[in-house]
Amino acid sequence: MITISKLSYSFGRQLALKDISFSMKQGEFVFLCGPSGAGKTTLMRILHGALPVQRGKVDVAGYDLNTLTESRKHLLRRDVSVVFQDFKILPNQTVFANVGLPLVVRGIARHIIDKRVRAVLRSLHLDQKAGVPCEELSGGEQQRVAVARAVVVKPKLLLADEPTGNLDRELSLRMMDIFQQFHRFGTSIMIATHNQEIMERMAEARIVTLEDGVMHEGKKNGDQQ
Amino acid sequence: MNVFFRLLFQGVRDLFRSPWSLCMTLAAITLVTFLGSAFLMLVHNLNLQLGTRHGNVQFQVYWGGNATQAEMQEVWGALSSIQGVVNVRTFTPDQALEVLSESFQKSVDLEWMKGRSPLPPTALVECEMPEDGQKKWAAAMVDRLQALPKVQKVSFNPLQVDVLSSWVGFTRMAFWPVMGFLLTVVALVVGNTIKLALLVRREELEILRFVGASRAYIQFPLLVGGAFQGFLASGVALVLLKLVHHAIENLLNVPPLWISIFFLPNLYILAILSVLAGVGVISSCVALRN
Repeated sequence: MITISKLSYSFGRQLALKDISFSMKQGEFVFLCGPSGAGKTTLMRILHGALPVQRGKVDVAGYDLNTLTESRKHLLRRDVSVVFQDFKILPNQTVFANVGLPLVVRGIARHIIDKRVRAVLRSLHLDQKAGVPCEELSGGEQQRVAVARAVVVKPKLLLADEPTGNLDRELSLRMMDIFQQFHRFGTSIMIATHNQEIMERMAEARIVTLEDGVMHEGKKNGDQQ
Repeated sequence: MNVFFRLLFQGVRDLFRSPWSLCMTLAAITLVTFLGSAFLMLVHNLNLQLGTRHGNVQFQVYWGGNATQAEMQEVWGALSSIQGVVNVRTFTPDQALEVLSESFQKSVDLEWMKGRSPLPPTALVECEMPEDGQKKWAAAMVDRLQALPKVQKVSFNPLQVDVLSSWVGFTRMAFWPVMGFLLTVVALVVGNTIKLALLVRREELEILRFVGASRAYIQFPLLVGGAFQGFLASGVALVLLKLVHHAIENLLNVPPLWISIFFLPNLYILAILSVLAGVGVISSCVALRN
């Protein structure tokens, strides 16, 4: 699903990622952990095509990001969904409109959109808020809208950048249950987080650590010490 | 197809998100288009007037006194078959005397000269000017008329040729630069509006990109918006121009001018609407590219 070879990325003179090599199989669940400023978000953005590959080689969901042109990036983004740290939802649009947006841009029929959006909203306990503008929601609810929008298209790969950052403990755990549920259906998931509790909860997840732009392979949560 | 029409509609609907900005843009484009169309109407009417009144050059052809009536009739009959000749008026010596008498407004009595008129048989040959090489053409026409049997003298007013060629030159020189300038202004106004729309909607467009919207999906409504602005503003400008035309239509239709002012022909109207819509699309493209 993801193959990274000797990837480096810098913002001016500041090296954010240093010679990273990493691979992730289809159907894997990976936690990308590390302190703030370690390069997690930068890596996520590269994997989603929001930042270019400066050095090294990156292949995501069958797309070679080194050669993928701007005009074809939407194809990558149709297979790879992202939950952003800052949600990136349309505040003046309703919950339903926000969640249905990825389906609308794919030209999917209205009745199918209606069915799929309502199903996802139910699973995230947002069905009562379908007609509410997102600006009227709490931070936690907005985060759930962002997750709903990412999963509604049944992506091959789901990237989530601190998806529980604005949620309390109970909601964080419920969110992880939802991710687990989608993982069971075959979606590959990579979550950037430094929430130890949710990492411990996912016994089969693989953990990789980014520290000062350098990646270290961690153990699977379930492995014996 | 559904998506196409939805995006088409969305392109127009998005413009109304910032009605104030839309109004200002439409006002600016309308004003510029109005000026451009008014200039076009002026040129069109001047060309019409030149074509019907002064666009043709008149040659005066005088025959010698020894030419008989029968000879004259034969030559005059052949005059209208000369290439470029649009009208021929002929005068026998007596008819020429009558016209001369009329020009004196009966203050001089020339009746006593009837039948013994000293004036030569005359023809006024009106010719259509070619677009190029008018002076050369005029000289050739003089030679050709001079070569007719028993012609004594051919004259024409070279100033008329000069004025006409000057006007043709002026319209050629000034028309496109003026139109180009006005279209550039329109392009800048539309382009700027699209740029502003992009800035205002930056976050929304970024979200659309991240959820998998293709470049065409994002850009098409903006191009439609540009085309719509150009089309709508030019439509409003043409309606305003029509109102102005209605008010001034007969302003010059009085003696001795008798000039009716005509509105732009349908082809010009279609061209204005299409060109403005096209300029809107092109400037939107440039704004999106930047």
